[in-house]
Amino acid sequence: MDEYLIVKIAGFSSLQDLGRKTYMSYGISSNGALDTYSYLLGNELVGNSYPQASIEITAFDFMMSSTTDIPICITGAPADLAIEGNPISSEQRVVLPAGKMLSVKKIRDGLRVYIAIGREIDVPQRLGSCSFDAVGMLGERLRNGHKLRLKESKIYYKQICGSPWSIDVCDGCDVDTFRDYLEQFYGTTYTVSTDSNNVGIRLGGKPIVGHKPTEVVSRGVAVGSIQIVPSGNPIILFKGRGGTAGYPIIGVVASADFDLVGQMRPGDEVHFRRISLAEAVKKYKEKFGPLKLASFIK
Amino acid sequence: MQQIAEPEFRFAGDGGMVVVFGTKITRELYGRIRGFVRAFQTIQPVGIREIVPSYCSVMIYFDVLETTVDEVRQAARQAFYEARPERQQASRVLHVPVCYEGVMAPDMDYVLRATGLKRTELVALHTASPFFVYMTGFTPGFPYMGELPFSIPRRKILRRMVPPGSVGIGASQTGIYTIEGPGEWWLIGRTPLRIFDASRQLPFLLSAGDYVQFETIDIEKYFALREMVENGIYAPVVAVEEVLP
Repeated sequence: MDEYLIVKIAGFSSLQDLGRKTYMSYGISSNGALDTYSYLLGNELVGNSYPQASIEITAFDFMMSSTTDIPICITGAPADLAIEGNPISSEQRVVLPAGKMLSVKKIRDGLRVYIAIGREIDVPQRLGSCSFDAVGMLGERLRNGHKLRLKESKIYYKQICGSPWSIDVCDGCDVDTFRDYLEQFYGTTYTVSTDSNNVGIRLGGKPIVGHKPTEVVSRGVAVGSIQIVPSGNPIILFKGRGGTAGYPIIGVVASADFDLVGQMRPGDEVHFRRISLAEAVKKYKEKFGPLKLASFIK
Repeated sequence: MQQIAEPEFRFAGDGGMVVVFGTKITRELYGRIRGFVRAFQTIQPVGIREIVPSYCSVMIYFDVLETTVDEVRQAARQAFYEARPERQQASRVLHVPVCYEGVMAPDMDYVLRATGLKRTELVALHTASPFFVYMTGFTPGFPYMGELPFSIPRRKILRRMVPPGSVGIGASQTGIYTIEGPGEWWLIGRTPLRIFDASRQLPFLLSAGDYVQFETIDIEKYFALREMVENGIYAPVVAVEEVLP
């Protein structure tokens, strides 16, 4: 079912974003929120990962409701803010409950108030922006009774949990010494041992026998390294591992699948799929690229 | 002038690259690896998370959201050509008392059988001259030292709980367990010293480039020293010496 914001009293309001770029030489001005800082602050505080269309209210009182619970954040000039008559704070993320009336009254000291919405509003983009341009007649003002459809909340990458797990793996440093065993390794369904923790996830299954493990001089091992211990069983070295170790490594879990390894339950079944470095990089970027907070992983 | 072959660049998944300089533990390689790390840090490539040097290789962790595997490889290649081997003038030598007896040395018999040495010979060999700390890691501050004149494969079955202070042998390396935890090396003794203690102002007693001179003590002395260590009144014996490699 579609969900909407419903403007009851529009006053003198419009939808705004950062405005139009690169069309100046065609005579199109940028327009956009007239108080960029307040506009961006609201979007940031409401938790948007990129700047969404906000409601810019100029001078006059404004009222709206929503057909669904929706996070909002109000910024800009001081004003009387309330939901169903109960005062709310500006510059804080607040949930506007479905069917309740939000009011912005008595704007003072400054001229404009911004309501950042924690969902994307389905509004036409004209030359890359929804902002109102009174000269070029792009975008539009809000009217009393205006219904603004909310887009489905967007999850870019749906992580699916559950046994049997399929985990993507890149070749490890010692893959050459396992050449004759790769078919077996990638063809085996392993079981997650109860004897697993944040240091290592032990896997039971058909051990890799006959492999003559050459002693490897202790060296750095990446998170997700799958080492084959002398018993022939694989252990996935995980985030609590020591930075160095000496057993040979058949493969390294693709970074995009670390999260799945972190979710596997003892007793679950798991098999591995061999992928190229380029595929692993692509998968990781697809998964984490859209997450703004991913920049903090580094 | 001798031409040094370019190292091998091997990827360890999409977040790590191993630069392999060789396969043998040597001081020459140590100097080259430290020189490489310094050159790489000087270049300051973007998107690098951490650099972990070890005996024969360097692990470089990176973030593909900020860099590409080709850029990392390119920076590493540049660092290789710009690097100058690190040469050490003088070194810290930490004196580490070790009890090589009884319960403190649970794998002594195995090691003697595997090497054909007598106990006195093994202890003499382990205490004869300082061991060089090539790297630290595995557990916090665990010193990887070399090199023994023999090599024995690591344990086939991991020991679940190794007491802290245990002195172990793995392949041709020797090391000191710093915390209680699992281990795969053969245990030939135990020191009352705490190589790692997060509550100390200097949590790590050893870092790469230091030396360790092991000294044999009996079990009474072990407990006496341990009490001093626990009461915080034991001052580790450290000398700054010129040690020839």
